[in-house]
Amino acid sequence: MSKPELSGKKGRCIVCGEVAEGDLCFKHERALEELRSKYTSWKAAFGYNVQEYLMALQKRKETGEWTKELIAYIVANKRFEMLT
Amino acid sequence: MHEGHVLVIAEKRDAAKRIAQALGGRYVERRIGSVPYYETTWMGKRMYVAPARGHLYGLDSDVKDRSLFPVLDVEWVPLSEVKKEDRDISAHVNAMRVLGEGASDIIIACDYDIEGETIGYNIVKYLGLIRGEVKRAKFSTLTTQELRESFASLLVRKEWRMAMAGRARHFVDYIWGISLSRMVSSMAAQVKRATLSIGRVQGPTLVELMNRESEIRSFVPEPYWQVKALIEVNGQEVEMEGPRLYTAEDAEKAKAIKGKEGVVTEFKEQEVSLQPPPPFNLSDLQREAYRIYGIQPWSALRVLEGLYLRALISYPRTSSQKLPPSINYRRIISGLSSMYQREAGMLTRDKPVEGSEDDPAHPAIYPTGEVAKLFGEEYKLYDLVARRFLATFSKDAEVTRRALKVNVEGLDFSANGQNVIERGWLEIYRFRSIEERPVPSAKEGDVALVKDVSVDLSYTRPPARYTPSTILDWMEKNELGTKATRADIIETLYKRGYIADRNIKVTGLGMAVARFFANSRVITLNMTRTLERDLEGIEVGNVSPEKVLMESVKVLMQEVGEGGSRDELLSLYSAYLKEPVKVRGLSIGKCPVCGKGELIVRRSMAGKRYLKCNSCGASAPLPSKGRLVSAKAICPHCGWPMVRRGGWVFCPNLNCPGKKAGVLSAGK
Repeated sequence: MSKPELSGKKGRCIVCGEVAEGDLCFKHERALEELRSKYTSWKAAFGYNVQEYLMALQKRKETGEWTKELIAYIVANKRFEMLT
Repeated sequence: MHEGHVLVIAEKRDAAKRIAQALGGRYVERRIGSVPYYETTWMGKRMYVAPARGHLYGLDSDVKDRSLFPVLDVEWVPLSEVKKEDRDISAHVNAMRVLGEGASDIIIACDYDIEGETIGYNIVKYLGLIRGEVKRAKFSTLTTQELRESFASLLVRKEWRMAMAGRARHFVDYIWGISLSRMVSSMAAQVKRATLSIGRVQGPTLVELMNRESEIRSFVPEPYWQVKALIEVNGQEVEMEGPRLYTAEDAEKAKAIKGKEGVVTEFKEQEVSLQPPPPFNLSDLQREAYRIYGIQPWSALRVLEGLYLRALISYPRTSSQKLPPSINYRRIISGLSSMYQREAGMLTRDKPVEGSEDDPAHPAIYPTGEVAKLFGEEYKLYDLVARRFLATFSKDAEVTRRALKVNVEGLDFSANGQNVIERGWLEIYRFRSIEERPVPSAKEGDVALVKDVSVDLSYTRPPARYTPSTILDWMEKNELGTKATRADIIETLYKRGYIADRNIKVTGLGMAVARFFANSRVITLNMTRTLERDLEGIEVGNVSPEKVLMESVKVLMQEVGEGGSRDELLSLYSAYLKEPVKVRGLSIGKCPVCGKGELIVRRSMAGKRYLKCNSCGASAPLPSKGRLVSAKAICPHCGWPMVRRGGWVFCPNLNCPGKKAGVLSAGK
C-alpha cells in the first residue's frame, strides 16, 4: 500500500496558468496545433494575414473556447510568431 | 417450516409472486419478519417462493483508511454490513436461511443472466444450501405458460461458470473502483478533500468524452462556399447540390453559371426492397427510445424491467436479434390483435425477419401477447416493442431510388431522390419514415439548364457532442461494459458531476479525472477491452477465473506504481474548484447567507418545495403548490430575496424579523 507523494512544481501555461509540459497546457497546445494547421485554408480563401485570420476566428461561433482564449493571449501580447 | 419442501429463490418480490401464481394457480403470502414469501403447490410438492432484493451479498474490504491503496483484500459479505441503506438486507438473508432449512430441493429462479446467476449462487453458497443438486429455472418471460414449462424441465447446476464470471466481474470492478478512486481522491486531497470516484469502465468512457470535448473546444472552422443550383432536366426542375469551393475567386466564377447549359453525366434508377428491421435487442431498443422519445437509456431499462415483471414483454437484458419458433409466434400475434387489430391483419410472413446478433441466454425482446392498460413511458416502450415485433412479420417496403448527375462548366451537381411504391412494414413500425423527393427521369447526354444558382459562404462545424445514446453505441463498439451495465455507467458519470447536459459536456471536474486516465500508460482502451473479453471467456469456459483475477491485479498494481499524472490532476482540480457555481433550476436570487451562491427552488423526495443555496446550503421551506417566481425585490427586514406566488409576495426566511413582527407578506 502506498500514500501519494507531494507534487513537484512543473511549468505553467502562459495562457491559463495550469500545469504544462512546455509553454502551453494540453488545452492550449492542442488549440495552437489547430490554429497552425487551418491557417492555409483561410489564406487561400480570403488572402488573410495571421492577424486578420485570428480576428476573423474570434468572431466565429464555431471557434472553440480554448482556441479563443489562446487567440486573446496572442493578440494581447502580439505573439503572432507563435503561428509560424 | 415443513420438512421436504422446495425453496425457490426469485430475484425480486414481483417475480416471486408471479412464479408462485404461475405454478400453483393460488398461493398464500406469508412472512418471516418483514420479508414476504409465497407458499404454493406444484406437482404435489410444497413450494416456498422467496424473493431476494437483487444482490444480498456484495464485496467489502477491512481496509477502511481511504488514503490506502490498492485494496486487494476483499470478501463477500451480506450487503447489510456494507451500506446503511441496505440494512433490511439482513432480514432477507435471515428469511432465506430459515426457508432453506429442511428444504429437499433448491431452485434458483433469478433472471437468467450473469447477475441473476451470481445473486442465486451467492445465496446458496453463503447459506450453505449447496447440499446436493441445485436446480435452475430458465425462462425469458414471466408468463404462466413459460414459467410452468421452465419448472417442468429444470436445469441442474454442476458447473457455475456464469456465476463465476459474475463474481470475477464484481471482484475486478470492486478492486479497480476502490483503488483508483482512493488514488485520485488522495491526490486531489492535496488541494481539497473530496471523494473522486472512478471505475474500470467509467475511466476510458470519460476519456472518450473528454477527447470529443477537446476537439470541440479547440476547434478552428474553415471557410468554404457551397454551390447549389435549380436545374431543369427534361422540362422538370430539381434542386441539385454542387461542389464546395475554397477560394473567393472560384466562388465568383460559379455565380456566373446561371442561365448556362450543362449535360446529364449519369442517371440511375433502381427499385429497392427494404426489409423490416430485426427485433430489438437492448441496445437497439435503448437507441430507438432515445431517438424517438428522448428517453434516457437507463430510464428505458428501468421501464422495460417493469414491463418484464408484469409479464408484458420478454427479458430485456439481451443481445439477441433472433426470435425462435418456440416462443409461439401465432399465440403472441393473436394476443396482440386486440390492441393492434389493423397491424395484425397486415402480416404476411410465417417467420420473422431476424438480425445477426445472438445471445445464448435469451431471445430478442418481444411482447408476450398479454396486454394491459399502459400510460406514459411504459406505453411508449411497449408500443415500440410490439410494433417492431409485428413489423418483422410484415412485407418489405418497396422504394424507387433515382440518382442524377449533371456537369455545368466543369462543376458537378448531384441529386438523389426516392419514391415509396409500397409502404409494407413502414405502416406498422411507424417510427421510421422515408422522405420522398422527386428527381426527373433522364439519360446520359440530356441537356440541363441552370435556372438559378446560389453560392453561400459557410464554415465547417465542430463534431457533434455525444448524447447518452451515441456514447452507449461507442461503448458497445469498443466492447466496454456489458449490455446490462453500460447505461448505468453513463448515469453514474452524470451523478458524479463528471458530465452534464443531454448533449454531453465534460465538466471541469470530469476533465481533471479524465486527463489523469488519458495520461495513464496502463489503463488503455485496449487493456480494458482485453479484460472484458477475458471476463466473457470465463462464462464460456475458455479462461479460468483465477487467471483473469491475477492478470487484473497485476495491471492494477502497475497502474498504482506508475502513479499517473498527478500535477495535471491537481492543477485541473484547483481550476475546477474556482469555477463559478452553476445555477440549475429556478433561481430566486443571491444567497444572503454566503453572498456567493444562488437560492434555487428544489423539490424533496416527499414532494415538498424548498429553497437551497447552491454554494453554502442555506435553505428555507416554500409552499408546495402554485407557480413560484422571483419577486425581484429584497426583504427590507432580513435581506433575503422575496418570492412571488400569484399575487402573494413573501420572504422565505423563517427567521425573518418581519415575520416575528407579524409582517408576513407584502401585497402586489
